Amino acid sequence: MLEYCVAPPNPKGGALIAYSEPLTAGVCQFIFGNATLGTSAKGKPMVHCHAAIRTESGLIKGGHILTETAIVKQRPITVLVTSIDEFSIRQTFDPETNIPLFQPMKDNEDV
Amino acid sequence: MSRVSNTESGNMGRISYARIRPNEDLVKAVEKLCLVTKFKNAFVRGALGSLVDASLEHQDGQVTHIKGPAIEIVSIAGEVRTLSDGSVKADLTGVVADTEGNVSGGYFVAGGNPICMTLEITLEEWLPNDTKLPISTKE
Repeated sequence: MLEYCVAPPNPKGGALIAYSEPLTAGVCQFIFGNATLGTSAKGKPMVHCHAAIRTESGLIKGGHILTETAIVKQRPITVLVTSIDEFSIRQTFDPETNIPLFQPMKDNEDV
Repeated sequence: MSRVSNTESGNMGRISYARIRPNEDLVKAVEKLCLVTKFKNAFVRGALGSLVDASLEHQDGQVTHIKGPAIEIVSIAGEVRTLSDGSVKADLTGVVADTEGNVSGGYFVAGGNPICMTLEITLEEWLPNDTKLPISTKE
């Protein structure tokens, strides 16, 4: 089961775009994607993933995957992971875009 | 089996991860990242992020402009090469999703793909054994 969202302009302002309400893809096929593994602002593991999928209704769609609610079924997804030793990737507030996003930080660097 | 020509041997080198900021051009930013990190040759190992608008070129030379913001970058594949004149050129192809989730693909046009919120990109350095190998690039 999978939900994803897209990034249209944000009518409320504040940030240029805002993620849409979740779009339900149902039981779908994960075709291909990319992800960054990092740490959330609360210090928890976090996955930022964009992917192309085939939805339950047969449409090929793409967007930002809501990884917290995505459940892998019997057929596994193969991933190739590169780990990085010398710094960490942390979700930190970015004043330029006015949203929190992943940025490379030194391990001892304060936000 | 198909005939294979122009094979190249070598090793993978360093890894570089960067967060590219808004309004930088995708292709130019990847080239600049290679200049900053002193990667002569590199492959895109992974990338995701968003574009303000997207410009994708196709096999017949046609260019599709996709209106954002934001266009989500689903994936990028490609390489960066240092040419014989010392300049750095990135050839990037990939898949994007528009504001309704519809997907498109093609070559990313240099100068036509400004970053919207962020680009997270990982490059892997390629160290060819024969650095004098003639390098062909798409013009």
